[in-house]
Amino acid sequence: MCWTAAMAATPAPPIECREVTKRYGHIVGIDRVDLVVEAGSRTGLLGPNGAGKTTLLRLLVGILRPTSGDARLFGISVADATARRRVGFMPADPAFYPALTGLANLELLARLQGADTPDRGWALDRMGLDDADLHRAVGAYSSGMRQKLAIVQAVQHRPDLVIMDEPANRLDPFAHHNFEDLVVELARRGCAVVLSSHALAEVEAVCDRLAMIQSGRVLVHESTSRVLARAPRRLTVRYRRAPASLPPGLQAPELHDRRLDALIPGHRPDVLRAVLADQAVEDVLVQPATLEDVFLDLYKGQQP
Amino acid sequence: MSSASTALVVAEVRTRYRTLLALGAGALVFELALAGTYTALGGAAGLAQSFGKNQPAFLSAFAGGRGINIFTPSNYVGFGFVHPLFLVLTLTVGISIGTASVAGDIETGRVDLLYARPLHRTTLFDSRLGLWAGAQVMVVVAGLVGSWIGTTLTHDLRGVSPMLLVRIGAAYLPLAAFFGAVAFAASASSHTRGHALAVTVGVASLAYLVNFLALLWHPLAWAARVTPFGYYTPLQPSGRIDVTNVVVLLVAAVLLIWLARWWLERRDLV
Repeated sequence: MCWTAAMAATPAPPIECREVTKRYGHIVGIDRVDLVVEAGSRTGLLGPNGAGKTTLLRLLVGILRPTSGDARLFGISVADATARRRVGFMPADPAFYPALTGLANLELLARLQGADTPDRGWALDRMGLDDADLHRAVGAYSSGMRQKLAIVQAVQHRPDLVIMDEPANRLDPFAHHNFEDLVVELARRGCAVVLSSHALAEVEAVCDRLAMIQSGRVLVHESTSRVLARAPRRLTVRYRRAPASLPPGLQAPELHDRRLDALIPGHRPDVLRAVLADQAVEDVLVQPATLEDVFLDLYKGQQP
Repeated sequence: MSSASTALVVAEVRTRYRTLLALGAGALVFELALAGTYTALGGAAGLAQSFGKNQPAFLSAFAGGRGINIFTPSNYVGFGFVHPLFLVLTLTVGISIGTASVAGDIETGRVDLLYARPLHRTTLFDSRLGLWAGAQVMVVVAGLVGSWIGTTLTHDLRGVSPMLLVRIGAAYLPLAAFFGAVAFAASASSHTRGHALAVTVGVASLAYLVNFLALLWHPLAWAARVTPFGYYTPLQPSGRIDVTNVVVLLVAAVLLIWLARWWLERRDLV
Protein backbone atom coordinates (compact mmCIF):
# COMPACT_ATOMS: atom_id res chain seq x y z
CA MET A 1 0.00 0.00 0.00
CA CYS A 2 1.45 3.37 -0.95
CA TRP A 3 1.79 6.13 1.64
CA THR A 4 -1.13 8.26 0.42
CA ALA A 5 -3.45 5.26 0.31
CA ALA A 6 -2.44 4.37 3.86
CA MET A 7 -3.14 7.94 4.94
CA ALA A 8 -6.54 7.88 3.27
CA ALA A 9 -7.43 4.62 5.01
CA THR A 10 -6.58 6.04 8.44
CA PRO A 11 -9.66 7.62 9.95
CA ALA A 12 -9.17 11.19 11.10
CA PRO A 13 -9.00 11.55 14.89
CA PRO A 14 -12.10 12.86 16.66
CA ILE A 15 -10.21 16.01 17.71
CA GLU A 16 -7.15 17.53 16.14
CA CYS A 17 -5.95 21.00 17.15
CA ARG A 18 -2.89 22.58 15.59
CA GLU A 19 -1.60 25.86 17.01
CA VAL A 20 -5.11 26.94 17.92
CA THR A 21 -5.30 30.37 19.51
CA LYS A 22 -8.29 32.30 20.75
CA ARG A 23 -7.96 35.91 21.83
CA TYR A 24 -10.58 38.27 23.18
CA GLY A 25 -8.97 41.58 22.33
CA HIS A 26 -5.78 41.60 24.40
CA ILE A 27 -6.86 38.69 26.57
CA VAL A 28 -5.65 35.25 25.54
CA GLY A 29 -8.25 32.51 25.98
CA ILE A 30 -6.14 29.67 24.63
CA ASP A 31 -2.67 29.95 23.19
CA ARG A 32 -1.26 27.76 20.38
CA VAL A 33 -2.98 24.62 21.60
CA ASP A 34 -1.89 21.34 20.03
CA LEU A 35 -4.12 18.46 20.97
CA VAL A 36 -5.08 15.18 19.37
CA VAL A 37 -7.80 13.01 20.88
CA GLU A 38 -8.08 9.45 19.64
CA ALA A 39 -11.20 7.36 19.22
CA GLY A 40 -12.14 5.39 22.32
CA SER A 41 -10.06 7.56 24.65
CA ARG A 42 -11.35 9.26 27.78
CA THR A 43 -9.59 12.57 28.17
CA GLY A 44 -9.84 14.74 31.25
CA LEU A 45 -9.28 18.42 30.66
CA LEU A 46 -7.88 19.97 33.81
CA GLY A 47 -6.84 23.40 34.87
CA PRO A 48 -7.63 26.12 37.38
CA ASN A 49 -10.51 28.54 36.83
CA GLY A 50 -9.85 30.73 33.81
CA ALA A 51 -7.19 28.41 32.38
CA GLY A 52 -9.04 28.13 29.07
CA LYS A 53 -10.84 24.79 29.36
CA THR A 54 -14.32 26.06 28.51
CA THR A 55 -12.90 28.28 25.78
CA LEU A 56 -11.32 25.24 24.14
CA LEU A 57 -14.49 23.15 24.41
CA ARG A 58 -16.71 25.94 23.08
CA LEU A 59 -14.32 26.51 20.22
CA LEU A 60 -14.51 22.85 19.28
CA VAL A 61 -18.30 22.90 19.08
CA GLY A 62 -18.48 26.12 17.07
CA ILE A 63 -19.68 28.54 19.75
CA LEU A 64 -16.40 30.45 19.46
CA ARG A 65 -14.37 31.12 16.35
CA PRO A 66 -10.60 30.53 16.58
CA THR A 67 -8.38 33.57 16.10
CA SER A 68 -5.73 31.42 14.42
CA GLY A 69 -4.73 27.81 13.99
CA ASP A 70 -6.59 24.79 12.76
CA ALA A 71 -9.12 22.83 14.79
CA ARG A 72 -10.77 19.77 13.27
CA LEU A 73 -13.36 17.22 14.30
CA PHE A 74 -13.03 13.95 12.39
CA GLY A 75 -10.90 15.79 9.86
CA ILE A 76 -13.45 18.53 9.21
CA SER A 77 -12.73 22.12 10.23
CA VAL A 78 -14.81 23.29 13.19
CA ALA A 79 -15.88 26.25 11.04
CA ASP A 80 -17.95 23.76 9.05
CA ALA A 81 -21.19 22.93 10.86
CA THR A 82 -21.20 19.38 9.50
CA ALA A 83 -18.14 18.66 11.66
CA ARG A 84 -20.53 18.44 14.62
CA ARG A 85 -22.67 15.71 13.08
CA ARG A 86 -20.94 12.97 15.10
CA VAL A 87 -20.54 15.05 18.23
CA GLY A 88 -22.51 15.31 21.46
CA PHE A 89 -21.96 18.35 23.64
CA MET A 90 -22.94 18.87 27.21
CA PRO A 91 -22.51 22.45 28.45
CA ALA A 92 -21.67 23.38 32.01
CA ASP A 93 -25.00 25.11 32.58
CA PRO A 94 -27.57 23.47 30.32
CA ALA A 95 -30.41 25.90 29.64
CA PHE A 96 -33.32 23.83 28.36
CA TYR A 97 -36.70 25.25 27.42
CA PRO A 98 -38.28 25.33 30.90
CA ALA A 99 -41.86 25.29 29.62
CA LEU A 100 -41.28 22.10 27.65
CA THR A 101 -41.14 18.62 29.13
CA GLY A 102 -37.89 16.74 29.38
CA LEU A 103 -39.00 14.53 26.51
CA ALA A 104 -39.92 17.51 24.32
CA ASN A 105 -36.50 19.03 24.98
CA LEU A 106 -34.78 15.77 24.06
CA GLU A 107 -36.89 15.50 20.89
CA LEU A 108 -36.08 19.08 19.90
CA LEU A 109 -32.34 18.63 20.39
CA ALA A 110 -32.35 15.35 18.49
CA ARG A 111 -34.17 17.03 15.59
CA LEU A 112 -31.61 19.85 15.62
CA GLN A 113 -28.89 17.22 15.61
CA GLY A 114 -30.59 15.63 12.62
CA ALA A 115 -30.14 12.17 14.07
CA ASP A 116 -32.10 9.25 15.46
CA THR A 117 -31.82 8.49 19.15
CA PRO A 118 -30.74 4.85 19.45
CA ASP A 119 -29.10 5.38 22.85
CA ARG A 120 -31.75 7.49 24.54
CA GLY A 121 -33.27 4.61 26.48
CA TRP A 122 -29.88 3.33 27.58
CA ALA A 123 -28.73 6.78 28.73
CA LEU A 124 -32.01 7.50 30.55
CA ASP A 125 -31.74 4.19 32.31
CA ARG A 126 -28.12 4.83 33.27
CA MET A 127 -28.90 8.30 34.61
CA GLY A 128 -32.02 7.19 36.45
CA LEU A 129 -34.60 9.31 34.64
CA ASP A 130 -37.97 7.59 34.19
CA ASP A 131 -41.08 8.24 32.13
CA ALA A 132 -42.70 10.36 34.81
CA ASP A 133 -39.64 12.62 34.91
CA LEU A 134 -39.62 12.95 31.14
CA HIS A 135 -43.25 14.08 31.06
CA ARG A 136 -42.70 16.90 33.52
CA ALA A 137 -41.75 20.43 32.47
CA VAL A 138 -38.02 20.99 32.81
CA GLY A 139 -38.79 24.16 34.78
CA ALA A 140 -39.90 21.87 37.61
CA TYR A 141 -36.68 19.81 37.55
CA SER A 142 -34.05 19.98 40.27
CA SER A 143 -30.62 21.12 39.13
CA GLY A 144 -29.37 17.53 39.39
CA MET A 145 -32.16 16.28 37.12
CA ARG A 146 -31.37 18.97 34.57
CA GLN A 147 -27.76 17.81 34.66
CA LYS A 148 -28.84 14.22 34.04
CA LEU A 149 -31.03 15.34 31.14
CA ALA A 150 -28.07 17.26 29.72
CA ILE A 151 -25.96 14.10 29.82
CA VAL A 152 -28.73 12.16 28.06
CA GLN A 153 -29.13 14.75 25.28
CA ALA A 154 -25.39 14.65 24.65
CA VAL A 155 -25.27 10.90 24.08
CA GLN A 156 -28.78 9.97 22.90
CA HIS A 157 -27.85 10.06 19.19
CA ARG A 158 -24.86 7.71 19.66
CA PRO A 159 -22.11 10.21 18.83
CA ASP A 160 -18.51 9.24 18.13
CA LEU A 161 -17.24 12.13 20.23
CA VAL A 162 -18.77 13.43 23.45
CA ILE A 163 -17.57 16.72 24.87
CA MET A 164 -18.66 17.54 28.41
CA ASP A 165 -18.06 20.64 30.46
CA GLU A 166 -18.25 19.99 34.20
CA PRO A 167 -20.60 17.02 33.70
CA ALA A 168 -20.69 15.74 37.27
CA ASN A 169 -21.66 19.05 38.83
CA ARG A 170 -24.79 18.76 40.96
CA LEU A 171 -25.00 14.98 40.58
CA ASP A 172 -25.67 12.93 43.70
CA PRO A 173 -23.18 10.13 44.56
CA PHE A 174 -25.37 7.47 42.89
CA ALA A 175 -25.71 9.45 39.69
CA HIS A 176 -21.99 10.18 39.89
CA HIS A 177 -21.23 6.49 39.96
CA ASN A 178 -23.63 5.79 37.09
CA PHE A 179 -22.14 8.63 35.09
CA GLU A 180 -18.67 7.13 35.44
CA ASP A 181 -20.01 3.78 34.19
CA LEU A 182 -21.65 5.57 31.27
CA VAL A 183 -18.39 7.22 30.23
CA VAL A 184 -16.47 3.95 30.43
CA GLU A 185 -19.19 2.22 28.38
CA LEU A 186 -19.09 4.97 25.74
CA ALA A 187 -15.34 4.63 25.36
CA ARG A 188 -15.60 0.84 25.20
CA ARG A 189 -17.80 1.29 22.13
CA GLY A 190 -15.13 3.45 20.51
CA CYS A 191 -16.56 6.84 21.36
CA ALA A 192 -14.00 9.48 22.38
CA VAL A 193 -14.96 11.33 25.55
CA VAL A 194 -13.49 14.67 26.56
CA LEU A 195 -14.58 16.10 29.85
CA SER A 196 -13.56 19.14 31.78
CA SER A 197 -13.90 18.83 35.52
CA HIS A 198 -12.68 20.06 38.86
CA ALA A 199 -13.71 16.77 40.46
CA LEU A 200 -10.21 15.31 40.32
CA ALA A 201 -11.10 11.98 41.91
CA GLU A 202 -13.72 11.49 39.19
CA VAL A 203 -11.26 12.37 36.43
CA GLU A 204 -8.71 10.00 37.92
CA ALA A 205 -11.27 7.21 38.06
CA VAL A 206 -12.72 7.75 34.59
CA CYS A 207 -10.10 9.25 32.30
CA ASP A 208 -7.24 7.35 30.75
CA ARG A 209 -5.63 10.51 29.42
CA LEU A 210 -5.12 13.98 30.83
CA ALA A 211 -4.76 17.33 29.16
CA MET A 212 -3.67 19.93 31.69
CA ILE A 213 -4.05 23.57 30.73
CA GLN A 214 -2.44 26.60 32.23
CA SER A 215 -2.94 30.16 31.01
CA GLY A 216 -4.41 28.89 27.76
CA ARG A 217 -1.57 26.43 26.98
CA VAL A 218 -1.65 22.66 27.19
CA LEU A 219 1.21 21.82 29.53
CA VAL A 220 0.67 18.09 29.81
CA HIS A 221 -1.12 15.68 27.50
CA GLU A 222 -0.43 12.06 28.23
CA SER A 223 -1.86 8.99 29.87
CA THR A 224 -3.19 9.30 33.40
CA SER A 225 -1.07 6.38 34.59
CA ARG A 226 2.09 7.98 33.29
CA VAL A 227 1.30 11.33 34.87
CA LEU A 228 0.62 9.65 38.21
CA ALA A 229 3.71 7.44 37.98
CA ARG A 230 5.88 10.51 37.51
CA ALA A 231 4.35 12.34 40.45
CA PRO A 232 5.98 12.16 43.90
CA ARG A 233 4.48 9.65 46.35
CA ARG A 234 3.99 10.32 50.04
CA LEU A 235 6.31 8.37 52.27
CA THR A 236 5.96 7.85 56.01
CA VAL A 237 8.69 5.94 57.87
CA ARG A 238 8.73 5.01 61.54
CA TYR A 239 12.16 4.24 63.04
CA ARG A 240 13.09 2.29 66.15
CA ARG A 241 15.55 5.04 66.91
CA ALA A 242 16.11 8.41 65.28
CA PRO A 243 18.25 8.00 62.14
CA ALA A 244 21.66 9.57 62.05
CA SER A 245 21.14 10.80 58.54
CA LEU A 246 18.36 10.79 55.95
CA PRO A 247 18.64 8.84 52.69
CA PRO A 248 19.47 11.03 49.69
CA GLY A 249 16.85 11.88 47.04
CA LEU A 250 13.89 12.53 49.36
CA GLN A 251 11.84 15.65 48.77
CA ALA A 252 10.59 17.92 51.56
CA PRO A 253 11.71 15.57 54.36
CA GLU A 254 10.36 16.33 57.85
CA LEU A 255 11.70 14.31 60.75
CA HIS A 256 9.76 14.49 64.01
CA ASP A 257 11.14 12.29 66.80
CA ARG A 258 11.23 8.84 65.12
CA ARG A 259 8.80 9.59 62.30
CA LEU A 260 9.83 10.76 58.84
CA ASP A 261 7.40 12.32 56.34
CA ALA A 262 8.71 12.98 52.84
CA LEU A 263 7.99 12.68 49.15
CA ILE A 264 9.64 10.14 46.86
CA PRO A 265 10.09 11.40 43.31
CA GLY A 266 8.40 9.32 40.62
CA HIS A 267 10.56 6.77 38.77
CA ARG A 268 13.11 6.65 41.64
CA PRO A 269 12.95 3.14 43.15
CA ASP A 270 16.56 3.61 44.31
CA VAL A 271 15.39 6.19 46.83
CA LEU A 272 12.91 3.77 48.34
CA ARG A 273 15.58 1.04 48.40
CA ALA A 274 17.90 3.40 50.28
CA VAL A 275 15.17 4.08 52.85
CA LEU A 276 14.51 0.39 53.37
CA ALA A 277 18.23 -0.36 53.69
CA ASP A 278 18.32 1.32 57.08
CA GLN A 279 18.22 -1.37 59.82
CA ALA A 280 16.38 1.02 62.14
CA VAL A 281 13.28 1.16 59.97
CA GLU A 282 10.29 -0.23 61.86
CA ASP A 283 7.41 0.55 59.47
CA VAL A 284 7.00 2.12 56.03
CA LEU A 285 3.92 3.53 54.37
CA VAL A 286 4.03 4.65 50.72
CA GLN A 287 0.89 6.34 49.43
CA PRO A 288 0.41 6.53 45.66
CA ALA A 289 0.20 9.98 44.18
CA THR A 290 -3.29 11.26 43.50
CA LEU A 291 -4.37 13.55 40.73
CA GLU A 292 -4.98 16.16 43.37
CA ASP A 293 -1.28 16.00 44.31
CA VAL A 294 -0.34 16.37 40.65
CA PHE A 295 -2.77 19.23 40.18
CA LEU A 296 -1.64 21.13 43.25
CA ASP A 297 2.00 20.61 42.34
CA LEU A 298 1.56 21.75 38.74
CA TYR A 299 -0.53 24.78 39.54
CA LYS A 300 1.10 25.87 42.78
CA GLY A 301 1.37 29.61 42.83
CA GLN A 302 -1.71 29.88 40.61
CA GLN A 303 -4.28 30.16 43.37
CA PRO A 304 -5.62 33.63 44.10
CA MET B 1 -38.73 24.47 6.17
CA SER B 2 -36.39 21.74 7.41
CA SER B 3 -37.23 19.35 10.20
CA ALA B 4 -34.80 21.16 12.52
CA SER B 5 -36.34 24.55 11.78
CA THR B 6 -39.85 23.22 12.29
CA ALA B 7 -38.86 21.68 15.62
CA LEU B 8 -37.34 24.94 16.81
CA VAL B 9 -40.34 27.00 15.72
CA VAL B 10 -42.72 24.60 17.46
CA ALA B 11 -40.66 24.81 20.67
CA GLU B 12 -40.63 28.60 20.51
CA VAL B 13 -44.37 28.75 19.85
CA ARG B 14 -45.04 26.47 22.79
CA THR B 15 -42.95 28.79 24.91
CA ARG B 16 -44.44 32.05 23.67
CA TYR B 17 -48.01 31.34 22.63
CA ARG B 18 -49.54 33.05 25.66
CA THR B 19 -47.65 36.26 24.98
CA LEU B 20 -48.52 36.20 21.29
CA LEU B 21 -52.18 35.51 21.97
CA ALA B 22 -52.28 38.32 24.51
CA LEU B 23 -50.73 40.75 22.02
CA GLY B 24 -53.17 39.69 19.30
CA ALA B 25 -56.12 39.99 21.67
CA GLY B 26 -54.85 43.38 22.82
CA ALA B 27 -54.60 44.69 19.25
CA LEU B 28 -58.07 43.36 18.42
CA VAL B 29 -59.73 44.81 21.50
CA PHE B 30 -57.99 48.15 21.14
CA GLU B 31 -59.09 48.68 17.52
CA LEU B 32 -62.59 47.43 18.31
CA ALA B 33 -62.88 49.79 21.25
CA LEU B 34 -61.50 52.74 19.30
CA ALA B 35 -64.03 52.25 16.53
CA GLY B 36 -66.76 51.91 19.14
CA THR B 37 -65.96 55.29 20.64
CA TYR B 38 -66.56 57.14 17.35
CA THR B 39 -70.30 57.40 17.71
CA ALA B 40 -70.02 57.91 21.45
CA LEU B 41 -67.85 60.97 20.81
CA GLY B 42 -70.44 62.34 18.41
CA GLY B 43 -68.93 61.24 15.10
CA ALA B 44 -67.16 63.68 12.75
CA ALA B 45 -69.43 66.57 13.64
CA GLY B 46 -69.25 66.04 17.37
CA LEU B 47 -65.47 65.67 17.40
CA ALA B 48 -65.00 68.75 15.20
CA GLN B 49 -67.22 70.68 17.58
CA SER B 50 -65.23 69.50 20.58
CA PHE B 51 -61.88 70.51 19.12
CA GLY B 52 -63.01 73.68 17.36
CA LYS B 53 -62.71 74.64 13.73
CA ASN B 54 -58.93 74.44 13.54
CA GLN B 55 -57.77 71.04 14.60
CA PRO B 56 -54.71 71.23 16.89
CA ALA B 57 -51.48 70.53 15.04
CA PHE B 58 -50.43 68.32 17.92
CA LEU B 59 -53.38 66.05 17.34
CA SER B 60 -52.70 65.81 13.64
CA ALA B 61 -49.01 65.05 14.24
CA PHE B 62 -49.97 62.51 16.89
CA ALA B 63 -52.12 60.85 14.25
CA GLY B 64 -49.12 60.61 11.92
CA GLY B 65 -50.12 63.35 9.48
CA ARG B 66 -49.87 67.07 8.89
CA GLY B 67 -52.97 69.21 8.49
CA ILE B 68 -55.19 66.18 8.20
CA ASN B 69 -58.67 66.12 9.64
CA ILE B 70 -58.51 62.94 11.67
CA PHE B 71 -62.19 63.04 12.50
CA THR B 72 -63.44 61.83 9.14
CA PRO B 73 -64.53 58.17 9.40
CA SER B 74 -61.65 56.73 7.37
CA ASN B 75 -59.00 58.89 9.04
CA TYR B 76 -60.38 58.02 12.44
CA VAL B 77 -60.01 54.34 11.60
CA GLY B 78 -56.49 55.03 10.26
CA PHE B 79 -55.64 56.87 13.48
CA GLY B 80 -56.11 53.58 15.32
CA PHE B 81 -53.12 52.21 13.41
CA VAL B 82 -50.69 54.99 14.31
CA HIS B 83 -51.79 55.18 17.91
CA PRO B 84 -48.83 54.44 20.25
CA LEU B 85 -50.75 51.64 21.98
CA PHE B 86 -51.24 49.81 18.68
CA LEU B 87 -47.58 50.40 17.79
CA VAL B 88 -46.43 49.04 21.14
CA LEU B 89 -48.72 46.00 20.98
CA THR B 90 -47.66 45.03 17.49
CA LEU B 91 -43.98 45.97 17.53
CA THR B 92 -43.54 44.02 20.76
CA VAL B 93 -43.83 40.87 18.66
CA GLY B 94 -40.69 41.61 16.66
CA ILE B 95 -38.86 43.12 19.60
CA SER B 96 -39.62 40.13 21.81
CA ILE B 97 -38.75 37.40 19.32
CA GLY B 98 -35.91 39.34 17.69
CA THR B 99 -34.02 40.25 20.86
CA ALA B 100 -34.45 36.70 22.19
CA SER B 101 -33.09 35.12 19.03
CA VAL B 102 -29.34 35.37 19.59
CA ALA B 103 -28.68 37.70 22.53
CA GLY B 104 -31.40 35.94 24.52
CA ASP B 105 -29.85 32.56 23.78
CA ILE B 106 -26.47 33.81 24.93
CA GLU B 107 -27.89 35.35 28.08
CA THR B 108 -29.80 32.23 29.11
CA GLY B 109 -26.99 29.88 28.09
CA ARG B 110 -29.26 28.13 25.59
CA VAL B 111 -26.74 28.99 22.92
CA ASP B 112 -24.63 26.03 24.11
CA LEU B 113 -27.45 23.60 23.49
CA LEU B 114 -28.73 25.03 20.21
CA TYR B 115 -25.66 26.28 18.38
CA ALA B 116 -23.46 23.25 19.11
CA ARG B 117 -25.56 21.29 16.58
CA PRO B 118 -24.54 20.47 13.01
CA LEU B 119 -26.52 23.40 11.69
CA HIS B 120 -25.49 26.72 10.25
CA ARG B 121 -26.10 29.49 12.71
CA THR B 122 -28.25 31.20 10.12
CA THR B 123 -30.57 28.17 10.01
CA LEU B 124 -31.48 28.79 13.65
CA PHE B 125 -31.68 32.53 13.00
CA ASP B 126 -33.94 32.05 9.99
CA SER B 127 -36.23 29.78 11.98
CA ARG B 128 -36.82 32.60 14.45
CA LEU B 129 -37.34 34.99 11.52
CA GLY B 130 -40.04 32.67 10.22
CA LEU B 131 -41.69 32.53 13.62
CA TRP B 132 -41.61 36.30 13.90
CA ALA B 133 -43.05 36.82 10.42
CA GLY B 134 -45.97 34.53 11.18
CA ALA B 135 -46.60 36.01 14.62
CA GLN B 136 -46.31 39.56 13.32
CA VAL B 137 -48.89 38.99 10.61
CA MET B 138 -51.20 37.31 13.12
CA VAL B 139 -51.12 40.22 15.58
CA VAL B 140 -51.53 42.89 12.90
CA VAL B 141 -54.39 40.95 11.31
CA ALA B 142 -56.00 40.69 14.76
CA GLY B 143 -55.91 44.49 14.95
CA LEU B 144 -57.38 44.79 11.45
CA VAL B 145 -60.12 42.31 12.31
CA GLY B 146 -60.90 44.28 15.48
CA SER B 147 -61.17 47.44 13.43
CA TRP B 148 -63.33 45.74 10.80
CA ILE B 149 -65.71 44.44 13.47
CA GLY B 150 -65.75 47.89 15.06
CA THR B 151 -66.51 49.71 11.80
CA THR B 152 -69.21 47.16 10.98
CA LEU B 153 -70.87 47.59 14.35
CA THR B 154 -70.49 51.38 14.50
CA HIS B 155 -73.20 53.13 12.52
CA ASP B 156 -71.16 56.24 11.71
CA LEU B 157 -68.22 54.17 10.38
CA ARG B 158 -70.18 51.84 8.14
CA GLY B 159 -69.17 53.82 5.08
CA VAL B 160 -65.51 52.95 5.61
CA SER B 161 -64.40 50.56 2.89
CA PRO B 162 -62.82 47.26 4.02
CA MET B 163 -60.18 48.03 1.38
CA LEU B 164 -58.94 50.80 3.66
CA LEU B 165 -58.03 48.15 6.21
CA VAL B 166 -56.26 46.09 3.55
CA ARG B 167 -54.28 49.19 2.55
CA ILE B 168 -53.38 49.95 6.16
CA GLY B 169 -52.27 46.36 6.71
CA ALA B 170 -50.12 46.44 3.59
CA ALA B 171 -48.55 49.72 4.71
CA TYR B 172 -48.04 48.69 8.32
CA LEU B 173 -46.45 45.27 7.88
CA PRO B 174 -43.33 46.73 6.19
CA LEU B 175 -42.96 49.15 9.13
CA ALA B 176 -43.23 46.26 11.57
CA ALA B 177 -40.74 44.34 9.40
CA PHE B 178 -38.29 47.20 9.69
CA PHE B 179 -38.43 47.34 13.48
CA GLY B 180 -38.34 43.55 13.72
CA ALA B 181 -35.22 43.61 11.56
CA VAL B 182 -33.68 46.20 13.88
CA ALA B 183 -34.38 43.87 16.81
CA PHE B 184 -32.84 40.88 15.04
CA ALA B 185 -29.78 42.87 13.96
CA ALA B 186 -29.30 44.26 17.47
CA SER B 187 -29.66 40.76 18.88
CA ALA B 188 -27.19 39.26 16.41
CA SER B 189 -24.55 41.73 17.53
CA SER B 190 -25.28 41.87 21.28
CA HIS B 191 -24.14 39.84 24.27
CA THR B 192 -27.25 40.43 26.35
CA ARG B 193 -30.92 40.69 25.59
CA GLY B 194 -31.06 43.90 27.60
CA HIS B 195 -28.58 45.53 25.25
CA ALA B 196 -30.47 44.41 22.15
CA LEU B 197 -33.72 45.61 23.71
CA ALA B 198 -32.24 48.99 24.59
CA VAL B 199 -30.95 49.47 21.04
CA THR B 200 -34.26 48.50 19.44
CA VAL B 201 -36.49 50.49 21.76
CA GLY B 202 -34.07 53.41 21.50
CA VAL B 203 -34.23 53.38 17.69
CA ALA B 204 -38.04 53.10 17.71
CA SER B 205 -38.53 55.85 20.30
CA LEU B 206 -36.10 58.22 18.62
CA ALA B 207 -37.67 57.61 15.21
CA TYR B 208 -41.13 58.25 16.62
CA LEU B 209 -40.00 61.47 18.30
CA VAL B 210 -38.22 62.79 15.20
CA ASN B 211 -41.20 61.97 13.01
CA PHE B 212 -43.57 63.63 15.48
CA LEU B 213 -41.47 66.81 15.56
CA ALA B 214 -41.15 66.76 11.76
CA LEU B 215 -44.92 66.62 11.42
CA LEU B 216 -45.37 69.36 13.99
CA TRP B 217 -42.75 71.85 12.83
CA HIS B 218 -42.56 72.59 9.14
CA PRO B 219 -38.83 73.48 8.89
CA LEU B 220 -38.11 69.96 10.13
CA ALA B 221 -40.44 68.31 7.64
CA TRP B 222 -37.55 66.71 5.75
CA ALA B 223 -36.59 64.78 8.91
CA ALA B 224 -39.71 62.62 8.65
CA ARG B 225 -38.14 60.88 5.65
CA VAL B 226 -35.10 59.80 7.62
CA THR B 227 -37.29 57.84 10.01
CA PRO B 228 -39.23 54.68 9.16
CA PHE B 229 -42.41 56.37 10.36
CA GLY B 230 -42.05 58.84 7.48
CA TYR B 231 -42.72 55.91 5.15
CA TYR B 232 -45.87 54.83 6.91
CA THR B 233 -48.88 57.02 6.14
CA PRO B 234 -52.17 55.27 6.77
CA LEU B 235 -54.06 58.58 6.69
CA GLN B 236 -53.21 59.26 3.04
CA PRO B 237 -55.89 61.20 1.19
CA SER B 238 -55.20 59.31 -2.05
CA GLY B 239 -56.52 56.06 -0.61
CA ARG B 240 -53.88 54.02 -2.47
CA ILE B 241 -51.00 51.92 -1.23
CA ASP B 242 -47.80 53.92 -1.57
CA VAL B 243 -45.60 51.30 -3.19
CA THR B 244 -42.45 53.42 -2.81
CA ASN B 245 -42.89 53.56 0.94
CA VAL B 246 -43.45 49.83 1.12
CA VAL B 247 -40.36 49.13 -0.97
CA VAL B 248 -38.14 51.49 1.05
CA LEU B 249 -39.13 49.88 4.34
CA LEU B 250 -38.81 46.35 3.03
CA VAL B 251 -35.41 47.01 1.44
CA ALA B 252 -34.16 48.54 4.70
CA ALA B 253 -35.46 45.50 6.62
CA VAL B 254 -33.82 43.06 4.21
CA LEU B 255 -30.51 44.92 4.46
CA LEU B 256 -30.62 44.79 8.25
CA ILE B 257 -31.38 41.07 8.20
CA TRP B 258 -28.57 40.45 5.74
CA LEU B 259 -26.19 42.39 7.99
CA ALA B 260 -27.37 40.43 11.03
CA ARG B 261 -26.81 37.08 9.29
CA TRP B 262 -23.38 38.17 8.07
CA TRP B 263 -22.33 39.24 11.55
CA LEU B 264 -23.82 36.16 13.21
CA GLU B 265 -21.68 33.84 11.10
CA ARG B 266 -18.52 35.57 12.23
CA ARG B 267 -19.03 36.44 15.86
CA ASP B 268 -18.34 34.55 19.07
CA LEU B 269 -21.53 33.47 20.76
CA VAL B 270 -20.58 34.66 24.23
